[in-house]
Amino acid sequence: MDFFADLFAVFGRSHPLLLHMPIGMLVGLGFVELIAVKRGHQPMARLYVFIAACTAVFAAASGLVLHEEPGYESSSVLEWHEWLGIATAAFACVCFAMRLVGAIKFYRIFLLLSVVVMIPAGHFGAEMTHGKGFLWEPFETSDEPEYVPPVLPKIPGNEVDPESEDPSDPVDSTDLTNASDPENGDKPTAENDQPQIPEPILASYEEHIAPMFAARCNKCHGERKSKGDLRMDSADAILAGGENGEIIVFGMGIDHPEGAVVIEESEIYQRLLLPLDDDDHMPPESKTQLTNSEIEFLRLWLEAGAPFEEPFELGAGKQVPPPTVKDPPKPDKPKPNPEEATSAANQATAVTPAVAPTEAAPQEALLALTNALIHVQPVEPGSTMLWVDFAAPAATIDDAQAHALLQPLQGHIGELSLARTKITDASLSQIAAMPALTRLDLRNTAITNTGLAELQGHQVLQQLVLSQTQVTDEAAATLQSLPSLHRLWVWDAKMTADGLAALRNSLPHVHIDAGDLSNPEVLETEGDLVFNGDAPLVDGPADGEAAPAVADVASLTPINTVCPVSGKPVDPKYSVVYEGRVIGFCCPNCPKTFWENPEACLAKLPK
Amino acid sequence: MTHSSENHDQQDHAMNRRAFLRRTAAAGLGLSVMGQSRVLAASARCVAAGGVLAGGLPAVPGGHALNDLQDPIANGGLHHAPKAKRVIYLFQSGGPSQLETFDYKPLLNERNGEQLPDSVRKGQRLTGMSGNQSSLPLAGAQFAFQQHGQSGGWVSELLPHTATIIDKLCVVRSMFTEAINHDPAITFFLTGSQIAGRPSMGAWLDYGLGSINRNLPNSVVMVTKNKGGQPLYARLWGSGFLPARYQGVQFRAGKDAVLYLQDPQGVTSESRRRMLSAVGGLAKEAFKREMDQDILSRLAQDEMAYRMQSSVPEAADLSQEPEETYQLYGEDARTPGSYAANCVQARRLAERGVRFIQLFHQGWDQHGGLPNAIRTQCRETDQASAALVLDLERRGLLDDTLVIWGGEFGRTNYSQGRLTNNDYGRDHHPRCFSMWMAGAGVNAGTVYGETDPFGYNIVADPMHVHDLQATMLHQLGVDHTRLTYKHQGRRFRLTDVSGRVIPELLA
Repeated sequence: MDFFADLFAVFGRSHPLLLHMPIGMLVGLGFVELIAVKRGHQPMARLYVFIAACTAVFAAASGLVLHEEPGYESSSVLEWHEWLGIATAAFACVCFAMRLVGAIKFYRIFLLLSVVVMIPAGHFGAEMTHGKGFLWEPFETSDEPEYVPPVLPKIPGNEVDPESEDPSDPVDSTDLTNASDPENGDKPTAENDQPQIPEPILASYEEHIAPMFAARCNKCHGERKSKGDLRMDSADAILAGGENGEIIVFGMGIDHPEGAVVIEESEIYQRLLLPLDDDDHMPPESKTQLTNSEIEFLRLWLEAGAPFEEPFELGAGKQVPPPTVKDPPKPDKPKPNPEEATSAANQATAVTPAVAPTEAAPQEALLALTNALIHVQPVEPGSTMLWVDFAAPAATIDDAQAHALLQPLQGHIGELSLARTKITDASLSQIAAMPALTRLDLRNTAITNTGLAELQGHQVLQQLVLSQTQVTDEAAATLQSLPSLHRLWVWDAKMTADGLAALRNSLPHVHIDAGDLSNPEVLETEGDLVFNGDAPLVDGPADGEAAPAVADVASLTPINTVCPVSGKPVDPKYSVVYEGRVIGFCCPNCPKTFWENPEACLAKLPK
Repeated sequence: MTHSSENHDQQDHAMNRRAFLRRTAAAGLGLSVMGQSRVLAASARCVAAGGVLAGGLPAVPGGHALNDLQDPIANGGLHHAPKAKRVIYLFQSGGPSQLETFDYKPLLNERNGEQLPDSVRKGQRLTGMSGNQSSLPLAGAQFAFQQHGQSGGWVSELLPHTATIIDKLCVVRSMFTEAINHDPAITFFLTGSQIAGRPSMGAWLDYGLGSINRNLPNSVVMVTKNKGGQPLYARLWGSGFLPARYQGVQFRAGKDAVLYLQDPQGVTSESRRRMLSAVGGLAKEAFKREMDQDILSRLAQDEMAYRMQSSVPEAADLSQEPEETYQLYGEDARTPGSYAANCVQARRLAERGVRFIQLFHQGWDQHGGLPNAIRTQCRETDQASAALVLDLERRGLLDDTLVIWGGEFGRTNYSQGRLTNNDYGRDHHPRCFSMWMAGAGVNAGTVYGETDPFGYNIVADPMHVHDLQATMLHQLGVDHTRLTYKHQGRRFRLTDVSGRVIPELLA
């Protein structure tokens, strides 16, 4: 079934091929007939005219099929092309009919008509594929300087891997450190190995981003052509987006601060990172690609909130994971500054975010985890960092298994739960070597201080669950050495109240939950249920629903042993409190009688 | 990028009636080539889109290969980074009165017995149960209210334990729903439509997010034992038109939490395994031929049942719980099937990674005799609900567990039936009621929304049922408009065609 659909689609796509046949044949026929008229020759053979008319019909038909494919939205150019193409085919058919019946004069008139109509049809078609004004472009004078892609200045931790630069892009390493003009300045000023905080280096949309768009994007998304209804040659047009909506997505204040660019949802950037062979990759595979430096420029511009007027920083001392086109890393992770983080271990705000690895996690390792029923997923869509949870096989996981499964994924693990597993301190050295680990759950394991000590100085660990472990007060030293830690759970560990207090004192910025923070008194002292002496206790709602449970009264001892209504023995389940006395009944119905006239019933009770 | 529903569509396309007719037509009935091809081209695009989406993690080979073919995790079925990894929904079935619990209305006490003013009711419809009452006397709550915690949230004396954790809760006082009776209202809450047939919340989550613990069902339901009251139906945790493997599983009180899990007498575990493998092989053959979703569902459920033979008894075994648990949750927790015991069970399942855990506690439908009945209800639920939040918190689980407490609608500010000095009833009231949420990025210690002094209409920040669902999905990393499933020619979603994430609820 699908085969025919595919075949049909192929027919449509052969339009660019088929259309050349009627052009050649009809124009050729035109010349032949011109000469024939002049010299009084016979008209061309019917077979040739027939074939020419057929090709015109096929070309038009395939064009109509191609129109059905996505990406060909109606526009005036397309409409003109379509109707003129149909007209061409129609005239060609009539032309053949005239030839067939021998009306040579009309045959030649219609031939002329079809050629005359075909020329603008072809022109409009060409404009659709090559862009408006393609034909006369060479005559247009361009005074714009030749575009040279900008190169990111050398900032410690900010340089782009030279290996990953496009080798086909021979550009001198121009430097922007002291000159914002990308074509000037070739003396590097900031040294890689020099630990210093450089001055903020500024760039601007006008000087760096706009020329890049002009050179790499505007040929298809500009004045002449606006593929996907998108133009990128002005600020307004860029903000307006294209047929798929906005290309720069701004935060609405829910997940992202209002006004900030949500880079992972902004197609202006994400499309650059798609694999080259992806249909949505931009620029298209056959066009000049952006260099990594250019991509980085764009990212920094977006990160600054996509300012069109103000300059933006090229990151002073920021560490930027260089994007690679094959494996999109999570693009907008905040940049850590390792020096600052270590020195500020005791400051409340010093949190070092983890850096996602640039390459995706190895498939075999992921397969091994899922085979063992271990949950694994990216911490967020598109991230190379993983959340791994051993929930399902926890009871059978020991050190050796955990080691084997996690070893190939060391650098990728962002969140790890080994809760309820049989791991021991031996596993901690491996865990400590996970550079991107931000949350570790060791709840209900046999971990002790010894194992925990392996985590000493872990830079990015933010949340640590040690509830129900063997960790004692001596773990404080290790916990104090974790600069990014801000949430810690030690409920039901082996810590003493004093040790806990000391730990809280030494780590004022860490929220330490030991299960002792809520107000326990109220939880233990629930007041006795006091029944209103006048309210019927055992009286179901009128619409026949279940009576409220009275089980809690059963603990009270009635003052009587015989039901005051029926005279049968009392079942303590059916008791009411009346004027401070607990009165027992034999069944749920007797209390109703009781409430009708309590005093009369009470008179029957022993005093 | 849309969600992986295209994957499923493609299978639906392969098997549904239209596909069959199309095939027949091609064989000889001779539909127009043009029209048919257009349809086919469209479906071919669908298939292509599914193929692109199916990147990411690999499917599992061997025993579970087919089960996991469409595991959404395999293509990272999330839209943004999640705050919540699981949900515990404490459903108070019957419609708890907001006026006796969280919505303090002293005016009702002042004007106790006066008629509900027409200027408040504004001619809005009442149920048939109180609509023909000759008088609609306002009824003040007979319980003292107090402000609690640093946030100063109002809680009545009926909920002393909940009051102690008020700083961890976000109380929504401005919930409203469209339904006025129990069945449509509860169906609306849990499936997004008043009319039965849609997938439940848990099924949507299973379909959209997949499982964390593949040894346990992804969606577990527990109903308090012997409560009676408004009926509950399996469709409230059913899969609707989603493949049957996404339906929730009910855990029962007592010896077998899930019935019929254990092998029949004389069947060993090995022979069971061999049988499942053999049947699985046949099923895969059948699936290749017929592309029928139900085959995969059956296979997935058989495998799940096999794994649950050991995982469920372990998870449901409360005998190892320390004495401290019962101090926290209350002595009730020793009684299997009680709400408190179910709360302990819910915590155990959360520890084990079950994605959606739902408790139902019936009996909040107090049309008459409300003061006594609501006392009982609160006593049965208050301590355990609060204990669950505290217990999750100290175990480091509250940060990524969303706890929701609430019923299907609220209750009227006037008395249904006779109002006496100490007794009254309240009818259904969909126009305002209270719920609370805790954990997983919820703005703790806040109150959202406001009702008028009569407790009848919402005056600020209304929150619709679909808003709650949208917000819940948002916390789970799901864009509620993009988690869709195509059924009978339309893409359905939990929030139907509306719903708004309420940012004020979120920290």
